[in-house]
Amino acid sequence: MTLDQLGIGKKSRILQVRGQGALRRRLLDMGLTPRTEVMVRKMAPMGDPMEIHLRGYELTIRLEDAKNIVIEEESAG
Amino acid sequence: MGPVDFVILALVAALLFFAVRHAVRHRGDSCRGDCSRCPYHGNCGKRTKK
Amino acid sequence: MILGLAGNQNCGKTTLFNQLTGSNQHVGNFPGVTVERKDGVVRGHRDVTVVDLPGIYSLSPYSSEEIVTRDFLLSGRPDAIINIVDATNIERNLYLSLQLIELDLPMVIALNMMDEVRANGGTIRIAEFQKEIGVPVVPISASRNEGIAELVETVLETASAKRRPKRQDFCSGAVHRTVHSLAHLVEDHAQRIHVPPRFAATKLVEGDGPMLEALRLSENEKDMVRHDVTEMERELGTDREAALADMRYSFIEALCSRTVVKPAESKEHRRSVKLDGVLTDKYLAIPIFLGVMMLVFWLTFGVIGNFLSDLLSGGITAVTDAADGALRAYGTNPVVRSLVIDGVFAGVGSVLQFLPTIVVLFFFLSILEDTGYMARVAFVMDKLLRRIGLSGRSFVPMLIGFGCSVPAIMATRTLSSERDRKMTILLTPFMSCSAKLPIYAVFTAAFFREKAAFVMILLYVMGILAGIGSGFLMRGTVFRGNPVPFVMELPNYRIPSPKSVLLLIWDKARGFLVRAFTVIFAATIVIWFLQTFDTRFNVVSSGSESMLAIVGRFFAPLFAPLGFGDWRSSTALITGFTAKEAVISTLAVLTGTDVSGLPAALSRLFTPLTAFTFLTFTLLYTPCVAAVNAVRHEMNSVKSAVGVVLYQCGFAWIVAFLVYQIGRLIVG
Repeated sequence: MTLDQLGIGKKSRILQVRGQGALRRRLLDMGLTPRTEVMVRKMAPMGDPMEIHLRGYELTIRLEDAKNIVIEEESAG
Repeated sequence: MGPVDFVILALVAALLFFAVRHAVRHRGDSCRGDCSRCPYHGNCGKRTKK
Repeated sequence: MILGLAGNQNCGKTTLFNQLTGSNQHVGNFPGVTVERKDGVVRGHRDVTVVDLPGIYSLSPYSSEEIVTRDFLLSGRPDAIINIVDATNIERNLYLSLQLIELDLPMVIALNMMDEVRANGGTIRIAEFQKEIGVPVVPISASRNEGIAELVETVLETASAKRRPKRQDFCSGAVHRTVHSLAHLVEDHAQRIHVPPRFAATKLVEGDGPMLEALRLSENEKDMVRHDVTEMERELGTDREAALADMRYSFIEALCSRTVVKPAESKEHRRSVKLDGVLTDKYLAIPIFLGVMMLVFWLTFGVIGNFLSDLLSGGITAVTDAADGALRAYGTNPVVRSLVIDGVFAGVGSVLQFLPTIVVLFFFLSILEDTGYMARVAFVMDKLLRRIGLSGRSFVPMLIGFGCSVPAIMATRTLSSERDRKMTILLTPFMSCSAKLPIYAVFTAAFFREKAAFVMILLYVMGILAGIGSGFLMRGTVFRGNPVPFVMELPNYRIPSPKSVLLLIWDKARGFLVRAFTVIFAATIVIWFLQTFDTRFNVVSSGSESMLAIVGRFFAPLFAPLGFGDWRSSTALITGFTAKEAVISTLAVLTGTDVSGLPAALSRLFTPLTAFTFLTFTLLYTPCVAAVNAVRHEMNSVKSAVGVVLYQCGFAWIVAFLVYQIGRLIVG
């Protein structure tokens, strides 16, 4: 499952960060590394980009870029 | 033209001189006073290259 | 002594810079406001300069801000680095810190926003933290001016003692081994180009192209590098970039778990999320944004702006009349009197009365930025801007363009894609700048009194539509290609500091006044001169024989198809190239009136339709010389700047032509 498919309010853990070049570097630099916990806060009013919560702060990321982040959803509780 | 006229002319000429000199000196100032958003405000007022 | 101030965006770097240097800078909460380097002398230490480096998250070779910082730190070799770290966001901030440490320069970490950490019940064990990370750590609160003195002391001490970081090795296992062996391998090459071997090694492991180039390794050596890194990847099961990022964050997480005590979520963050529940809500976000913008415009042009403008214009008229009376009483030469009254007073005065409106507009724009709302605007608007091939980040420069095109064009520096930047620069002038306000205000007052606000809004909307249209045009032709990754932080909402807002207004007012009394003053005199005398330097009896009339008449036919072929309007438009406000001052001088008489004079030159056409033209045609110069500077080409001028004039002419002809059909 990739991050763009994660529902609002759902938590997940990153398994892999795909992509290449500047985009990938940016994702990693901002803290989107394997084993990091990520939650989807909301979608922008027009449906894109998405706002995610990780490492205590909020980040916006486009859905097409989020497709590069492979996650595993964490079940509640 | 009386003496008062010359005084006024001299005054205007002086102001004009300073205005033009200021404009030329600050040719490189791109922010026109809005230093908050200006990446170049460090150069504000610096003499343009000789 | 030179110090480099480095840190993430939104971590209070600018506030700290202000506290250190005491200079007047604006604290913008929106990511990417501070882009180019700023420097200032540290208060109380005249020989110490601190350079405010761009806000960055890493030292990768991909964005221009990161490259600028790397270059400065590697080649400039400052005496010390002040790394400002937002303690409420400590993990991500430390990611940059570790890379800065690798540069092997004396460094001090300033742990900012400690007041917020404490208020939320958190603590940081500084002594242990410091020991682990190997550089001095000073807790501060930049906004409260706490800890600054201690920070300065520590930095100066560290710099003079040339105390390098105690450890640079934060890796373990395969990564550690690989970095170590690479550092040995490239040691000579690195030292030759004055790069610390360890920094070069980690960059090589990250697959940093520019670093590989700069080292100029032999083919053999490059092979060895490739081999070592590939081995590492195989051993770890991930690729090189992820490996290193992972290592760094692992160290950071371990460090924080030992030394940082934090609540799960801070008050400020919770408040932010709640606010965003409304402000970026699916249905409410856009209406709220439009509402906010409408409110700002209404207050600026309508309520407050109008009131203050009227006050000021009344005052100016009074002063002018008094001066006129005094000059007559002294029996001054009529020409000289005309110079003073009709030239200087009328010209400068007509522009000065718009000072309040402009100040109010910037006041609101800066508050929106300081609170952090502008980041949300980029978030909400991104999808829209993507249609013309830009990102939400381009929205802010364009929004600034409503204030002034010059800083707006400069704000495009935040866009790391050349393509995005160029395109945004070309579209920004369509966002009608505040210098055109005097033109709109006078004309709408003269011709559309009751509907003034409506016409103004219509003009602004037309500008935006023209920009969008041009955007589509460009996207399909000149600027084909994919947009850049849009990964942006949404900082917590903050209450804007009254001090910084007031400083900003003062800045704006001063800038406007300076322009009014220099460029416009000079331009007014020149125009008065050209208008009063003919080519033989005799005083003219009628305005149409003057030198200015000759120039104006030369250009007038160009505007005949637009409905305003009078030499005075064409002349005024030409003077608009120096500064948009000059259009009004020129019209005042040329029609022989002053501020209050202008509306009446204009109704003799224009009809409501041609007035609107004129406004359309001024909305779209070339921006002022300062903006054009900014374009030349940012695009690094005179050709581009000239191209912009021609494009805008041509575009303006066509649209105004259409407006006029269609308008004639409608009005009959």
